[in-house]
Amino acid sequence: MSIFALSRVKSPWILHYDTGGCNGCDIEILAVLTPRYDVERFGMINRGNPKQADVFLVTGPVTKRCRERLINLYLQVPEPKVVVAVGSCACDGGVFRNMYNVENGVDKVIPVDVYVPGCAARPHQIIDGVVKALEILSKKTKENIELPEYIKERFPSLNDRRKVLEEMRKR
Amino acid sequence: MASESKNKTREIQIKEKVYTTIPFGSQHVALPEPIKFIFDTENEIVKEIKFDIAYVHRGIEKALTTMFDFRKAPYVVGRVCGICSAAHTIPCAVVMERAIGIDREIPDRAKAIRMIALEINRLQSHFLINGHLAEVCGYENVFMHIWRDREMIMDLADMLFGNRVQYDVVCVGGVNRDIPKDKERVLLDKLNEIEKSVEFMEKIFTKDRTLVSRLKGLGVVSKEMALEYGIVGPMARASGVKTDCRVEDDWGLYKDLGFEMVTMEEGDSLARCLVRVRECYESIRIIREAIKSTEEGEISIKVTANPKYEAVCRNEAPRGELFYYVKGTGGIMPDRVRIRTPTLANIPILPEVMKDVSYNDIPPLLMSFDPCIACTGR
Ligand code: SF4
Repeated sequence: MSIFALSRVKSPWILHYDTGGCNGCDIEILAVLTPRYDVERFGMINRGNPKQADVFLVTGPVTKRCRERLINLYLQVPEPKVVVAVGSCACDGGVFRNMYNVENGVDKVIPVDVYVPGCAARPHQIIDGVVKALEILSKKTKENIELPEYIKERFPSLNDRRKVLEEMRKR
Repeated sequence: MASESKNKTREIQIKEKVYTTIPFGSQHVALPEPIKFIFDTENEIVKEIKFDIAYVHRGIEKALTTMFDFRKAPYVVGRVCGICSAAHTIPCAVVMERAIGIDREIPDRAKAIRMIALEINRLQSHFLINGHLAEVCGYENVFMHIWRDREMIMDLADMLFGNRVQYDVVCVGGVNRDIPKDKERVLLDKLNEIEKSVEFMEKIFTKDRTLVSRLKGLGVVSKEMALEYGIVGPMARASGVKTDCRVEDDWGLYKDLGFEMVTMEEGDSLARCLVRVRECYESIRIIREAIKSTEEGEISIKVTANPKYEAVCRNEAPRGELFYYVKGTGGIMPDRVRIRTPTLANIPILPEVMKDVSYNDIPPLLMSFDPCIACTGR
């Protein structure tokens, strides 16, 4: 394991975005950062900057307006990265499933690595999910990037996809 | 020579006025929710504010009339907002009962448990926002302290209702579970501890010189202004307006238990914060009284009819008046459900108060307003 990969797993930085959930899970994510659960012992800090993040925590069922912002944020996070969907409604829409303004879950928009169910997800579960995500992160490299669905749609030819991949590796 | 004079004029211009537009959101580390502000500033003084609050619109009102039957409605509206979940479920259940015509028959014990759920909800919400307020003033330490104490309240909710955020204890016709004797005892014990931490919070927000001088006189809302804009909740009470839906509507036992309203006259950020702190004492007292005044017993009645009337209910959420309207037609789903949230009433005054305030005072000012975007967007 290279020294970069090692340090990435030892001190992952978090980016959190709410795509239209009820705040319940967002508050639990905040609670994870406070003394009772203290996720900083895993070296995690919540930085609002996508360019510095390794773990992308997404809550909410993805409303139509948040969709573009979510994609934008996802592309800004440098490779390798992991996406954790926190809460039932981020996993598959939950109680908001099939309402007219939602996309039924984060994985309809960007690839998701770990699903944390629960409405609201408990802090223990969130910590568990993030630790699982770190295992996945340690195996990921810049070489084996999985392209999200909407990029595949937008770039049907293999040649174009290769260019996009190269672009992502540079980040 | 010519270029030199040009340079000079540019320098002078810069010294006079600098206009900057600062975008804030929709994703930002200080914001748990997506909301977007655009501040037009002149020499760091905010001149104009535009904001966008509709990122989180999901269409819950529509879904209540097309996807869920009226018995499930309280659980769905709990997901309007996770911070004031109980505050939403209660008026929804009450409004359905009124539309059926059974709201007079709800047992007292059920009313008491609803009140306990609401007050626990209010406690954790006030702790949350005061912690945030301390954080944006630069007191990260106080933030951590308050949030550590908030975990006690979350534990209480977990013990009593089986979930930390979404209590889902209220149903149409009463409540889903009773509070047994042994848990009552634990609850009363824990309340003493919580009271101590409220005292700690009050001490900090009244005695600490830095915090007080940062918040005092910031964003003053006078009583006339409050009445003119029709603001609600702790914000209105901090400006001396006596309004509280806990005594104005009668779904609970608040009048019987001798509810006392907390008001202050100053109307600045500090007053808003202190109203919230002092309401915590009142909440704790109400929970104690509610436990003492009722016995374990019947907690719900059977619901056999569908909602057929028009009804409204007003409830005091942690952020102010929460209004529910329902129009039933005798079918399993109502014809129309309307939710009016407290933040919607408090937002029009925001640009007015933020005008001519220095940019670095915006975060504490915004936090003292306590906006909840998930409620407002729905
Ligand atoms: S999973 Fe439940 S608690 Fe969490 S954001 Fe979604 S609706 Fe809210």
